[in-house]
Amino acid sequence: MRVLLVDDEKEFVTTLAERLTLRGFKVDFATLAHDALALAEKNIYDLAVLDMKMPGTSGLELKGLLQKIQKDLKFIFLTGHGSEADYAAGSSESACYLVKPINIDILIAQMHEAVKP
Amino acid sequence: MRNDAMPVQYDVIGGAGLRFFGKVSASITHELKNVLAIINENAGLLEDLSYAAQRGSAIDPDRLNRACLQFTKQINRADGIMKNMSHFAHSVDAFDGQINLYELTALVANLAGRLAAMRKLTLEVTPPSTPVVFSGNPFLLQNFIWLCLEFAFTATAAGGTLLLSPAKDDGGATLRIGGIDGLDDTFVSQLPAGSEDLLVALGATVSADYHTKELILHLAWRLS
Amino acid sequence: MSILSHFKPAFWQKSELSTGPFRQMFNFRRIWKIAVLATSLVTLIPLIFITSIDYNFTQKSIESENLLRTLRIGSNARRSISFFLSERLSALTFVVRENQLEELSQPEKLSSILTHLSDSFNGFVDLGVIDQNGLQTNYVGPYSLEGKDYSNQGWFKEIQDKGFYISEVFLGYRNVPHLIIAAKHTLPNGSFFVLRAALDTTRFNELLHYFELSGRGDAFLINHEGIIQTPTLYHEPVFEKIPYRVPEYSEHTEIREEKNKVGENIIICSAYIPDSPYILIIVKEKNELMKSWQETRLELIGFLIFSITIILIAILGFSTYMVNSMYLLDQRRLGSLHQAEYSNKLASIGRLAAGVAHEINNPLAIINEKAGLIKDIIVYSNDFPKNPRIVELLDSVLASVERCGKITKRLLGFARHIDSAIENVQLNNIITEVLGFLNKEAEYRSITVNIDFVDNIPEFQSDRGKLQQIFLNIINNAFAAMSNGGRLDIKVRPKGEKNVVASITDNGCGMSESDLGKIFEPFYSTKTKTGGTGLGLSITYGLIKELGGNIDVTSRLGEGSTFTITLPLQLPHKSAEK
Repeated sequence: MRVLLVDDEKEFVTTLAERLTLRGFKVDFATLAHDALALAEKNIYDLAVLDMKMPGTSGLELKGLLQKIQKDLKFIFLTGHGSEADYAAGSSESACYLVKPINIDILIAQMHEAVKP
Repeated sequence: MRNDAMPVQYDVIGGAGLRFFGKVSASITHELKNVLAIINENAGLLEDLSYAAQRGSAIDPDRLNRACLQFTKQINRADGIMKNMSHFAHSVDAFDGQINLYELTALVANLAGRLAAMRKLTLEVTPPSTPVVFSGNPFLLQNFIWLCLEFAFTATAAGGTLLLSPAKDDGGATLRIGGIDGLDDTFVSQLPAGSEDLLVALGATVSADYHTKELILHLAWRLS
Repeated sequence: MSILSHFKPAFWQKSELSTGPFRQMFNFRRIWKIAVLATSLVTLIPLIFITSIDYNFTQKSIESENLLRTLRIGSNARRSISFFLSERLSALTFVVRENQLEELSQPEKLSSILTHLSDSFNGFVDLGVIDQNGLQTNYVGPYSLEGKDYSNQGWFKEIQDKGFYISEVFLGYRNVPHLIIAAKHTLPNGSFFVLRAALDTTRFNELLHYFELSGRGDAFLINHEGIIQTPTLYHEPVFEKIPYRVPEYSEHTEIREEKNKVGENIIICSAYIPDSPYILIIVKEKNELMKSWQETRLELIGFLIFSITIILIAILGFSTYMVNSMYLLDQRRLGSLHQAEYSNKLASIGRLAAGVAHEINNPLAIINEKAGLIKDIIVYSNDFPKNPRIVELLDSVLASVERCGKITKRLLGFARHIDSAIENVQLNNIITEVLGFLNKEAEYRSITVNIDFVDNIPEFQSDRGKLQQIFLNIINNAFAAMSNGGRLDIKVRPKGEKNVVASITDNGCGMSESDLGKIFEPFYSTKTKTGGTGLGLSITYGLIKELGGNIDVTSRLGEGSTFTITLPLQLPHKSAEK
């Protein structure tokens, strides 16, 4: 599975990327929204894992922009705020939200779930 | 219900509230620092082991494992602490909100966990038979329960267990704090300044049962 | 004084705060005093005025009635006495006209006439016939006056002119008071004779005591020299002089007021008895006369005092009730403001704490991942532990832990000073501390924060908690006014010897002129769409005032606002510290 990871915390996103790579995923990461969009222009991804809150952009906004580039892209959201997940889960998007710090096994299970046809 | 003829002394309550907030924040911060300290040590330990291994010493896999487990354990612990803090911080958002007495009591018990542990006391919250839900000011209530707990800590011998039982009552809800073996009729004078004003603002009364060694907080709020 | 304290109403205690949004709306003591004073004056002055007019009028009325009554009695008495005297004189006149001198000169005839006169009129004591030479030629009566010569006596001369005579009372023979009346008859041949009679004064005196006089009234006769002629009740005995001035001649009954020997007020009614040497005097004690008035007067005054008391009680009661109600309402209003301040205070701190909790999540997540990766390396690769990545990862963990540490330290520092206390503060530090909590939000929203501090800002005594809240509020507002990518400039400078100035400028949406005038009013909000209560600035204003400072705003719609806060280096003495 080819995954795009986007989070403004560099330490976090690089380490997670490495761990996923060790587990057999093909991972690209970005810390800025426009880098993420640039990557999406160049490569095809199965799934994007986005942070909900980044400087200047929210995760949902970025999702919308990415979907314009790759409309079949699947999404998983990461958030540091428990209540944010509650709020977003109530919205019309049936997306997956995980609260940081995350359990990597759960993340992987959700990733597989998300890309199921 | 609050007696409108008697003005609520918000400046007194405000002072009490701030002190409460300060105490809880300080407690949380200290707990967190402990967690971080442990993580710190474990990281340091692993570093040492790694250096040692690089220089050729043998590694004890158990030690490694334990260190890694510690990480997970402490992270989870920190996570729990931050969840509590988040709940607590949001309890001031609304002056009048929905309160689940059991959840609120459990939160305060969690927040007071470290202080209890320092005195070798255990806090237990028993869930009520039916949910006790009503509207009120969550922060004021937390503040008062905290003050009761602080008092209970001073009046209970080490090794004891304090039992908190929220329950429905005709006319409102009650919270019993049992196991205060040192409870006597001086308890009213031992509650700190601002307690009376908090009670007025809450529309609550507090009494003590010296036989069952219980402090009883009675809330006359509307049950929703 | 505990009884008084029972009655002391709630609004009586002085308010501590006299400025800021939490001052009382009125000076209740003063209002109460003014209300009571004004109402009392308006009700009592007319009441007292009218009562005193009524009092005076009634008093004068009663006085004049007394005088009139006395005057009437005087007139009646004068008439009676005059009648008495003229009646007897007429009897004599009848006798002299009816009888010849020769008859009258006969003792038996005279005696019989005397008897008849005595029976008819009472009081005739003796009877005498006096010839034109003044010699008493015939006499009947208890005294031996036959042959007495009256030619030299004044009255004999008088009677020749006037034709009759009435004497004063005198002590005659046997020291019994009596008076003489005489009638002259002119004979056809030009000569005359006089019939003289002595009257005892008993009937005469009885006349005067017939009049029931109120006011310890004393009625008696005096002669024109003021010698008392008839017995008095309260004055000197007969033949002594009255202690009062003899009234001047008048045809009418006169009345005057005077003071007696002991200084009491008296009324003297006087009437000259015509054709006689007598003056009727009636003396009444004014106080006795006015006695009934005095009782009435007491009742009147008593009623007035009672009314005044009732009115005052009603005024006091009502005013107290009204002002107390105003006070309680105002207290309730203040209570609402206090409640709102309390909410506001905790809300901003709550947000702060929530922000901290959120901030810590990131480093925790990082630690989590790093630790996880270490495990993974152990699991997945063979070259652990020699792998140098391990150390790198662990360093990263340590760095994250340090980061958490900084955040918690910041929170702890804030929590320690959370309660009100006066201490030494360094303004730059406080602003930096507050900004520290808003760092993340600034980062997320790409807001640039520029700090322009100088080193020579002195430390000063102030309330750290209040300063934190003031700046937290202003900077939060600035953030709320700006859209993402905005810019905040904060500048701190000393101002003169005694103050320090902090100015906070944003390039947010700004405010209109009309808004500018109202932003410090409680409940005025332009942020209602984002859930603002409109209280933050009014409370901030109050806090600044409590610290003895000042706040100023300039703004341009669409361009941004600048808040300028001036703080004194010396706290004012009357700071409302609780």
